Parts: sequence; C-alpha cells; structure tokens
Amino acid sequence: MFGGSLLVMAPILAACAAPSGTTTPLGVKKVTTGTVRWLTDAPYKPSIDAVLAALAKDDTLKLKVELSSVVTSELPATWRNSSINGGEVDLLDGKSPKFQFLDPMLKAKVLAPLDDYYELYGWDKYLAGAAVKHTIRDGKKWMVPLYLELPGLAYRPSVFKNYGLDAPPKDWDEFVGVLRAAKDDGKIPLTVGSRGFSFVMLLQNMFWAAGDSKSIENVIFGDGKWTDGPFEESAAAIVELWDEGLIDPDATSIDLNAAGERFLAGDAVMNVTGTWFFATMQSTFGGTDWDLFTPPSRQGAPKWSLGEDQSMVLPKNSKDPDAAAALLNYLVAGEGAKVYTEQGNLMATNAAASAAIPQVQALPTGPDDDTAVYLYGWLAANASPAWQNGSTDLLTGAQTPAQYAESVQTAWEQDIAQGNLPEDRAQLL
Amino acid sequence: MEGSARLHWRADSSHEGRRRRLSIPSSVFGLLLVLPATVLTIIVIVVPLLSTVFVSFSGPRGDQITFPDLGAFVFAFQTPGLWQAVANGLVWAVIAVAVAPTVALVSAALVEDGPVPGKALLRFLFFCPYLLSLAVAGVIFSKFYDPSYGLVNQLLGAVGLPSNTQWLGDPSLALGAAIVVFLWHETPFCFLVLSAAIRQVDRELYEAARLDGAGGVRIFFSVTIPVVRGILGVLAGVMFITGMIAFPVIFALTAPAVGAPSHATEILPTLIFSQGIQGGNTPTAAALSVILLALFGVLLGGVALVRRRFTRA
Repeated sequence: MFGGSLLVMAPILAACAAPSGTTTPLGVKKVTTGTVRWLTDAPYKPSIDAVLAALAKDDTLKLKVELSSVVTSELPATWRNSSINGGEVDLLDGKSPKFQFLDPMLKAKVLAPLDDYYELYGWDKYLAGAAVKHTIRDGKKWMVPLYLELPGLAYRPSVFKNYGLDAPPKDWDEFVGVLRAAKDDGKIPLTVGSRGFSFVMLLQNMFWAAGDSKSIENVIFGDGKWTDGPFEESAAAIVELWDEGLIDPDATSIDLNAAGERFLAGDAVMNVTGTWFFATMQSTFGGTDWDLFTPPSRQGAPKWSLGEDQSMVLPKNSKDPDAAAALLNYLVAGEGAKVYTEQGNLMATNAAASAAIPQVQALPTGPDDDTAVYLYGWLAANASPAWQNGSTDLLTGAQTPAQYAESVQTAWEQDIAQGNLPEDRAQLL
Repeated sequence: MEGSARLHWRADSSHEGRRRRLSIPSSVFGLLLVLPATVLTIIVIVVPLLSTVFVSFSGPRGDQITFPDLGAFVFAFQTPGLWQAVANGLVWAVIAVAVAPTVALVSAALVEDGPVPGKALLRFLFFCPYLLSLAVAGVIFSKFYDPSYGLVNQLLGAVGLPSNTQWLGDPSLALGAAIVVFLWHETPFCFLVLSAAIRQVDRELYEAARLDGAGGVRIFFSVTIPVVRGILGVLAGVMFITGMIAFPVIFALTAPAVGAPSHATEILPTLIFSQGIQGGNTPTAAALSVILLALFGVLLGGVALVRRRFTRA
C-alpha cells in the first residue's frame, strides 16, 4: 500500500533506519543487480542448482547468489543465529510449522516485513492464499512460501502392472497385496532409509493422514494429543509391515540415498521419498514410467500429507534486501518458478503451472486443496527427535507404538514448558 | 644471577656504543613466558566455561532475572536418553582405557624388541590410521558397515559367516561398532607414544635380563611394563577423557540423528549437540555441559584419590 511512496522515500528511510527495534528498514525498490547470500538446508536438491544455473544465463537479472547450507535438523538454530548475529545472510529458508521458525524470529525482532515487496512485485496473485496465511502475524506478511514438499511412495506403473495393479492401491488390502507380490517376486517390497534422518517417519505420516487427517491439525494447532489413537495406529501399521518382512530389512542401517539407489536400480519396488525425488527419477528413467503415490491405511483411503514448505524470509539486517527480493521474485513469478516447476516441485506459486510435468499435475495443487493435509515434519528440540528417531525404534523394537506415542507426547509437553513451542498455537493460524 | 634471569643484547653501537644488560626477576620472566598461553586459555576455555555455567543457572529459557535458577537442570535431567548417554560414555571410556593402551603396548614391545623384520615399515603402518581425523575415520567406517555393500559384511560372507548384520541399525550392536572405529583410530596414538618410550629404555636392561635367562614374556612383564608404567597411566587418562567425549565418530556415523538408533550411541556430548545446536535449546544444553563437567570432576577426582591412597600404601 505504501510501495509507491516508499519507492521515492527509500534513500531517506534507509538513512533513518535505526539499528534495532524498527520493523521497516527496507529501501523498497526493484533492482536487477546485487549479491544475495542465501542460507538453505536443501542445496543437495537438483532443483536449486537448476534454478541458479538458469539465473546465471539470465541477461536481465545480474544477481550473484552465494549459497550456504546446513542440514535441516540444524536449520532452526542456524536460522536464528544467522539472523541475530547480523549481516551474515540476505535470504533464509524456513519451513512449516511456521511457529518453529517465524515466531522466535519475530520475538527477537530480526525480520523485515515483506508487505511492501508483496505489493511492489504483485506476489499475491501468484501465491496460494492458504500458504501465505501461515506467514501473517499482526497483519503483516513475513515470509514468501515458495514450494511444497509432499512425501510419497515412488513406484513404476509398469512394475505395478506386473503385480496386477493398473493404478496405485486404494485400500489397505490392495496395498499389502502388492507388497506381498513384490516379496514373492524376490524384490524388496518397500525400501526406506532411516540412518541419519528417518524416512520411516514419512511413511508413518502418510498412514496417519490416511487414517485420520483431522487429528493432525488437532495435535499441531489444537488440544489433541499424540496419544489420542490415530498416531499410534499409524505406527502400528509400520510394525505390522515390518514384522511380515514387507519393509527393507536393511532399513535401520541405510540412509535415504541408499534407499533411493535400491529403487532406481530396480531392487526395490517402492521407495519412501517425496516430490524432491522427482528430478532424480526423471533423469534416471525418463519418460513417464515413474510416479509417486500416497498409501492408504487400515483406517482409511489415501490422503496426501504435505510434509512442509519452503518459505523464504529476509533478515532485517540483510545487506541487500532489494537484491534478495529480486531473487525471490525470480523464484515466485519469473523464470526461476518455471525451472522449479519443470524439476518436478510442487509449487506454492501458479506462475508456471503449465510447465509442470504430468506426475506433478496429478498431485494436490497446494495447501488450498482439501485432498491434502498439512503434516509437519519439523518440530522443536525435544519433539522432533522423539518423533523422527522414535519411528526407527518401531523397527528395532526399542519402542512399541504405544510407548512411541507416549514419548512424543512427553517431548511435546516438555517443548511447551521450555518455551520451544507456543502454548496457544491455534491463535497463530 | 641467582633469583633473576638476564637478557642480554648489544645496542646499536653507532648510538650507544656500549653493552647494555637488562635484568628481569625470574618470577616475572616466568609469568611473561606463560602469558600468551594463559590469555589464550582464558579466552577459549575459561570465558566460555563461565558463560556456560552462567547460562545453565539462568532458568529453562535463559531469561531468569533471579539467579541462580535450577530450571534448566530440571529439564536436563528429563532429557530422553540422558542416563543411557552417561552409561554409554562410561562403557566407552572403560573399553578405551582397557583396550587401546594394552594392544598398543603389546604391539610396540613386539615391534621394538621382538625379532620382527621391517620395523620402520611396521611403525608406519601401525601409525597410519592416526593420520586421518576421527571424523574421517567415522565416515570411512560408515561405508564399511553398510549392510549390503559394506566391506565388513562382505568379508564375513566370504568366510561363510552371516553377512546381513545391521552394524549401525541394530541398537545392540551400534555402540560396539562405533567403539571399534574409535579404537582403530586411537590405538595407533598409544602405539606411537609407547614405541618411543620403549626405544628410550636402556638396552643394557634387556641384555641383563636375557643374560639372566629371562624370555620375551618375562622381559615384557618385568622390564618393559615397569619402565613405561608412568606413560601407561597418562595414556589411560587420555583414553578415558577422549572416550567419554568421542563425539566426532558418533556424528560421522549417525548424523543428523546423532546418538541413533534408540539412543544406542548416545553420549553426553551428542545430547548437548542435539539440544543446543540442532534444537536451539541453549539453557538445557548448558546444563548438560555442566553435568558432564561435574561427572568428569567426580570420576577423575576419584581416580586421583584412589591413586594417592595406593601410592601411600
């Protein structure tokens, strides 16, 4: 709303910007040059490399991007430190749930509001409203949701056809049936990596979403408990498959990359992964004989569970916020959005929807789509390891599903007591 | 000269043309010598240590105005895996103390005093693992331990043994697998120190023992061990401390889920890392650090007391 006047007053505002306590240090203007230091947890993804390669060839936008990375589990702390310490980065990746990233930063007063950039570049007409909604506090927009990560099971339709399935399984019996057929065929029915970061948790997420998706929202943003039942049932499904030998027997020892290789080599029929694996499948298999599906549970039909989203933010002490915003615009509305989309990402922007590969077009279009539910993969200091590492405990037998649910609930309550999670999360929506 | 150190220098003869002599009391001279190291120690150890202690007593969120507040310690003692971390650290330290110096001593005695050809080459080969960092050793072994393609299972399979062991995925094996990496890396260090110590021993002692009819085993127990006993004690202390805080190898084997699976490889430093660095939960991490420090104090203090009592006896 103040975009025009701010454009004129930019130098004055920039000169008057106080070192702390202010909320609008932006000298908001469109630029085509500058340096952006981008801290992300995902440089391993082919998507970012492809986007930066395209940017390097762009004649109209001469942005120099310095990418630095951390592993996702260290992202919250690094994110916080980078913002608070000052001047280290211009652009940061954040994820869902937003209260993990956004609210601690707002409390520390280290972020710049992005409303003026939203207006300057017209981002509202590109971005999914429900994704933007999660970034609003006190009436201001603080993040730019970029793309969504959707966990799923990678499979090849031709292989399923060999086992008598023309489409991904729609109920539990069909799902277990194809797993058993694969096992009888001497293949690994379902591979999953759990060393390092446990993708067993993603499998459980899918079962939980299919079983009772409402309970997820109730736990994360309501007064529901991890011990209420649906979470435990999804864990029990994992144990059931494991005990029957339908999950890769090496699952507790291999990481997500090793699991991916088993699938790509044809040793495994299904791989627990997500939309980030699309580019790899596309380059390995080519054509259309590969896809992603979400499994049913014993309690219900398949329901996509959005794992998280990448949402960008600008630290208040960014040295070149205009350049960072120009890069954001390239990703939200420009050629970058197209490259992201072509790489198989599920975008929160509609800028290049027509460029989406067929497999992506079949996925839920975003958080506005009621065929998917937000299911958050990154929680606070105690809940996150209890949830992720505990999912592997189901395989090793270190925890029963009931003990697992209890341990996550205990960790959740500890995070609330320690201030790592806001007690009243419902008000944040 | 007594009670003072003298620094001499020749002044520029064109200006002064005479010899000057500067005298500094030896106590001051000594202080000057240790000053740089003292300043460095204060900056990198004392200040962070005091800061950690301060944060640990500043409440569970690090924002208590009333100091001291034990809230962070309450949460620290509730941290999942805490007691397993303490137990794992102790097991690790005891095995490190028992195995690394012992294997190194036997190897060093064989190489230095045994009828072994190619001693220089053997010394080099024994020392090779220590040329790598502990973290790199962890990364290498993480490949060796791969259940399907790893060297360990391949070798076991080649000799007809079960070849599908989940070395890092089975909670009952993961700690042992990690300790093996540590021993593989640290035993060469002990070997190097003991090898050098044995080479310093007066050869006449060995010759005398042999003239008296002592065999290799008798010489080992009656000559070599008594001579290097003091160094063995030092190595045991070093192994105990490094064993209790063998974070790099666990990180390399299990990150980012450090301490996995099921807290099987959890030690106090991994808990501190996951709480403080990964979770951003600084007060709890600080409290855990103070607990680790206290544990070291109790254990090493206890060892010192026992040692003093034995020495007197």
